[in-house]
Amino acid sequence: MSIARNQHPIIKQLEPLVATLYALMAGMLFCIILAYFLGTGSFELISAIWEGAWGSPNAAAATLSKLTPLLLTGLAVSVAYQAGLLNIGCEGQLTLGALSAACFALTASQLPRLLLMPLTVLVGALAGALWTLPAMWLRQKRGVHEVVSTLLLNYVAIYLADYLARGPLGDGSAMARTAEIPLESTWRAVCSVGTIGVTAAPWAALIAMCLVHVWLYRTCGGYEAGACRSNPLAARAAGIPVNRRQTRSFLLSGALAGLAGALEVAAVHHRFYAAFSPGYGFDGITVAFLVNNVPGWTWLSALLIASLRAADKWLQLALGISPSTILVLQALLLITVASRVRLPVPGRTRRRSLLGHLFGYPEQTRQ
Amino acid sequence: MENFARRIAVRILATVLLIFVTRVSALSSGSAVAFPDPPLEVMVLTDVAGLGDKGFNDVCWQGVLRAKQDFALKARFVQAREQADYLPNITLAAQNADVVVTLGYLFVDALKQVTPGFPGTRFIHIEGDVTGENVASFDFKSEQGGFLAGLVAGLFTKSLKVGVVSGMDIPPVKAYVNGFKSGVKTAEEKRAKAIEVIVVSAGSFNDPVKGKSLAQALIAKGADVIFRVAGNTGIGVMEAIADRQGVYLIAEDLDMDAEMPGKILASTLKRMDVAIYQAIEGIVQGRFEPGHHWLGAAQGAIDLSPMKYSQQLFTPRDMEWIDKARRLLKEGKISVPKSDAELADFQIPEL
Repeated sequence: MSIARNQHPIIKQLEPLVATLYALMAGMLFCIILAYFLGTGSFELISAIWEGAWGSPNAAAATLSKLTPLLLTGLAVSVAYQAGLLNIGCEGQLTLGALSAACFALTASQLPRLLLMPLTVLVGALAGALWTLPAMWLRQKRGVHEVVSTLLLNYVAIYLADYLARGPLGDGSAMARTAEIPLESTWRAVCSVGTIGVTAAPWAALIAMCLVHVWLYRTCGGYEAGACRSNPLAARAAGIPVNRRQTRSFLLSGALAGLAGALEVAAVHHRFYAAFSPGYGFDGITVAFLVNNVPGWTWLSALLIASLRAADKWLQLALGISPSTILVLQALLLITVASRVRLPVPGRTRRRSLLGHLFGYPEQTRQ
Repeated sequence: MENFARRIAVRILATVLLIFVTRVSALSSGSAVAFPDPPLEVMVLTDVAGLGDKGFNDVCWQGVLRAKQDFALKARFVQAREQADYLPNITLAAQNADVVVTLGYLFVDALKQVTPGFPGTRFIHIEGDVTGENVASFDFKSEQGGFLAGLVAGLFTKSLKVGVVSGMDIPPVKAYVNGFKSGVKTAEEKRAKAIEVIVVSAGSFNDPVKGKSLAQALIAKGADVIFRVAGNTGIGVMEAIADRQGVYLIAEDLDMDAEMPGKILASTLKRMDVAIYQAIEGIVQGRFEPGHHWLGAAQGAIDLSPMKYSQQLFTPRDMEWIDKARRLLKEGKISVPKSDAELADFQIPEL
């Protein structure tokens, strides 16, 4: 193993933090360049982003509510990655999770609140998990790469949900949405800042992140999942059922994405709208890769992306800049991280870039 | 030696980070972006389609711009990125502006939650019934515009097939479509020929690619006039028609005849800009009228474009009928069906 050479364990632990900070610095640099082309002051641009995300209680509440789905989908991508798989299908898993949660809450509305509230989100997670099974089956039995299958299953899920919300499961308003879910199943605001309440959903996502971290690094099952990524052949030789462990990680990944959708329904929209997600599933890939796919650090990158996303209305208000500027910035950040344009860090070893992972992917595990 | 270099590198890095952190925190505490205080601050909120749709949102924005000029206001707009943005955007606007203008049916649910919390802010809403002490909401008798479009399409069509590309099947669009069908029925009687109406829906106001493919499908089925009621999706419909001989468009909401001279038979006009302008004028002059208002041809809010580039495609008799229909609508003498049930009972008017 080349990684261990001369590397201080703390530095290795902090690498995701350093990566995010680099991204942040690169982001500021891009802001300065963008500001020049947009004709505003660069510090005005940066401070407008800060102001829009955290400048007022309402802004902070909006940022936190955007944090939840980003954190969970980022977690979903990194969990799969830690088992040697790429889950590009979070968007579909999230959509079906949201739809299932809404339908469950509507049909089981007579259950007591204590049962209904947790069951609603769990059903969403279950639906997300189940949606990964076709991709897993295709990979293990037919050798179809999961990047292709999960990506394409997104569209199956999105259009299926669209059809169902428009037709059999809709509220009849022709707006492609279900009826409003009963109040007993929603997550109410635990604290109200300004006019927008903050629900427990962001904290639930953080707890999920901690649990995933503990599972991955402190339990036998998590270790086995990790072994499937670092060396599938050795793992198999050591008696680890690689396919089964990978399926387990992928189910967990799908469940997290489904949970993201279910929480959006239960805590934000209180009903399922077709196309309610502006691509949170795909943003999860950004979130995960910004911190090297280390689940325990996804909160940091999710916070960064959520802040950028929440700031776009302030950019329009304060500076009259198109909200797409934020998307440009986000894309530039990802490219920076993916291409590993970095200052030298002591003990850092070369690893493959994101592009390398997407296009040069040698680990083919077939038993 | 290697260790030493490493330590230096870490220190440089730490210093750079420190500078950045202090710089950012200094910015956030010191120079917050402040709003100057003009006499009246108007904030316009659009759904995900945004400005530049050459339709609904652009018409409304024109009204705001005119008011801005006439009353020396400050006007800005914020475009939503996703469904979840509506509530925070309305709240943000209500905190920072005197007048909040929300455009479109999709805002209704969120708007109802916010308005009671801001009694000092005036809200103007287009499309949808929102009531309250501080809200004036406007709905338009889109079916009247649809009727005129249907009459024009029905009188013109050579293939006896006309198409409609709708965005989403929400009530205002549905009214347009049913009005269109009644207009075609009227033309059917005038020409004593059966005309087929094919309606397709894109399921989105912001999907030009789908709009284009739907329009192409309609053309393939033989439709030679297409009525677009699709917001931004309609941009794709226009693209599909641009390079087709013998296929014509009827546009909605805004006078677009000059966009493709000769290819657009007519545009139905929905003067949301007038409604917004008058509402803002009322606020400026201290006579704001809250409540839900229905506006139609009688108020001059629904009309047809002058058909400057397409008149020569019609016989004088056709033009006479179209003009008469406009006049009768204005006088309130034609009742145009809005729902499917009303369409079944539609009485064809005497032209």
